[in-house]
Amino acid sequence: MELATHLTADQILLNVKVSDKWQLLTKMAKVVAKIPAVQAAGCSEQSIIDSVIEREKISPTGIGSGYAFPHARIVGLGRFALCIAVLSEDLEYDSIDGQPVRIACMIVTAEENPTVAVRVMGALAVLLSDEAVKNYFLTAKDTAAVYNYLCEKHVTVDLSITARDIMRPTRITIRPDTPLRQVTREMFRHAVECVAVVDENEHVVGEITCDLLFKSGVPDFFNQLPSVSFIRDFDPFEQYFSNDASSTVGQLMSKDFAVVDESATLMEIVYLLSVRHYPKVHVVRDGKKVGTIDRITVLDRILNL
Amino acid sequence: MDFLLSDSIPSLLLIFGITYFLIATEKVDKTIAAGLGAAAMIIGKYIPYEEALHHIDLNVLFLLIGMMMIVNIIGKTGIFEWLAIVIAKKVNGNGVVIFLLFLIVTSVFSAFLDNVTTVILIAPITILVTQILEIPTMPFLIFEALFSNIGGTGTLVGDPPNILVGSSANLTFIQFLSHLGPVVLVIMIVAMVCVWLWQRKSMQVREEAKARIMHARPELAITDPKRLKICLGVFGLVLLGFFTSHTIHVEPGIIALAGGLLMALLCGSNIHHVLEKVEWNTILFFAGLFMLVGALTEKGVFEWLGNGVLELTSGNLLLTAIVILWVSAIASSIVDNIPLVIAMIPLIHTICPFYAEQMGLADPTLIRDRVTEPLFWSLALGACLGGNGSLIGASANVVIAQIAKKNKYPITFWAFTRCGLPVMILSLLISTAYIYLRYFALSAE
Repeated sequence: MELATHLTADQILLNVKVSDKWQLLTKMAKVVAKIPAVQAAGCSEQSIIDSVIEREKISPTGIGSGYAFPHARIVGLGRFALCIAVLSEDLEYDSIDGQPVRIACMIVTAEENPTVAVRVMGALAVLLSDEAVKNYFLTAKDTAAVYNYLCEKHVTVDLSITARDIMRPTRITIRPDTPLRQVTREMFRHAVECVAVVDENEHVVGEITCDLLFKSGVPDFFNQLPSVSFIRDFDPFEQYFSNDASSTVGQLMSKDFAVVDESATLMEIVYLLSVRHYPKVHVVRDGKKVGTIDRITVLDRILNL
Repeated sequence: MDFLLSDSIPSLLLIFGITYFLIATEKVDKTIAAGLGAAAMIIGKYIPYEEALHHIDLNVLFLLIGMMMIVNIIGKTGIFEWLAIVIAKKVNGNGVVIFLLFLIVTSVFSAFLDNVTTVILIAPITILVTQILEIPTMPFLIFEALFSNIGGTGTLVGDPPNILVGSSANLTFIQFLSHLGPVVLVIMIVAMVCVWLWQRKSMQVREEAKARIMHARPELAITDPKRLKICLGVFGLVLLGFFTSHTIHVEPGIIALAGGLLMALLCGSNIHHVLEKVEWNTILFFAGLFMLVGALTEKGVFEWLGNGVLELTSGNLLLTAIVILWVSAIASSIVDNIPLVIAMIPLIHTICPFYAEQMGLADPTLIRDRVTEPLFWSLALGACLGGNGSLIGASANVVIAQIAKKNKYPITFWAFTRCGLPVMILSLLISTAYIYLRYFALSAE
């Protein structure tokens, strides 16, 4: 499906000046409300503004790297509706990476077909990952020209959601020769429970989880006891964990991990997370790690739409 | 006595030999080896399929399955942890007394439950207690394995060789207790005295460590008191069933199986989870071996072998009993004792009539008391106690070594054998004296 078929020059806003993100959302929602298909569905301007703001309050839609994808589900809407806004200056958005937003794309979908938003987000994210395209948007002056530019780019929306659409960018990777102590600190600092271990070519070679770190310190017999509550005065953990202070990631990492190409389907990802019980799915492009998907990501990007 | 062997015997023995070699050397998984061996016997027409099935002793299989279910449910109640902590507190954290009492507990539990399961349940709490008391863990673990094999020797359900012997020779739970119980008790006492003399100095506990164990609250180890009461009630019924099985004419296999199912029902356990814990590979291993040895029985191989045994022992029953005891023990210390016992049982059945004839015995009760039983007690003692001879002699030894290694207490082959071999030799010397005194010297003419 060509993205341009769902867009007109009127749905593209350039050089937008707003004081906060709520003002931006209101401005974009008003544009969406004027789209004939939305009007034909009987959706009021206020209902769209309320829905978008309500969704934004649940969790911010700034996906990082200067992009935001505000969205909402509207009862009675027959098809999805878009609005793209390019801001004149950086806007604080409470994004996942803490960076301000420059380009926002609002997607309003039918209540019963929310996943189309993810597919549109994925298509636009791929388009904007090209620095030249991003710069074109940031410096564009004419909405009609931008519309024609998008038509020429033939941006298509995949029929299925892929890893590329929902992954979060990689925040932390480690090397096999990293000492475990350092890994523990890094994981704590980034508040992550699972980290990919990569080689010098950024290929995933293993995975370190909090569970593995615990198991390396806590002796095996603990697993076999039905309970340990009966012991009230024994705390040997300093001794247990001190044994592995000199160990490196390579000695402990699990080689059983989930890696998918960024074209992997949502079904494949959910299967790996829910059926195979992998803590995370590592997403690669040409073999190199580019992103991560965990259960929370899926909940946020799919079920939370 | 001359026995003629059919032409198919060489190829039959070849299949049997290859299977045994694979089992003994663990070149392939023993369940696969036994299963394929049995299949080869049936496919090669050495034994008709129906006959092969007939040789599978379902009483043994049901007993194993039932006891595995029971142990799985009981193990989750926390009773082992409760008992260990109660013992440690009652003796005020005295290291060597705790050591000896843990060995007694291991023996008693092993007498009524599977040895492997007993050590799997007792080892974790042992490691915890020894770490709290800051005393050596390795002697505890090694001797718990040894005492689980000794304790298991005393009852019908304690060790698989006894289950096999009991089922095949129609020996009751009470008979096992009254014939093997006394000798096991003597072996335990002698072994414990030796252990005390050897280990008492290394088991000194600091006052601070003693205080830690005194602060423990054993009642918190019981995860679900109601469930524990049900388990103990049903287990009591199962034991009552074992004691009276001869009177009520119900096979121990059915008692154990019914007990396991009743326990699962009353405890509200998920039957799928309980059955998942049954070691089906062991059950299939037994079934395969029964069929494999069944083919040999059908073809008269044991009559031929029995003839050889008689010639070797010059028809001397005492010598035969002693040879069975020591040979089965030495073999069991090197290879798995289950295939050995399954093969020895038909051999003993074959040679008994010859001794009866030689001794001029015609009364079946007398033949049973004076010939059959002494030989089977020798086999049971040898096969069970022989497991202590080396690290690979019994499954409990291997399992305890695996648990120890996972917890950073590596038990080497020789570290184990240094303790196990003297215990085995001591046990066999006591058993030899017992067999001689009870069944020959003091036996009524």
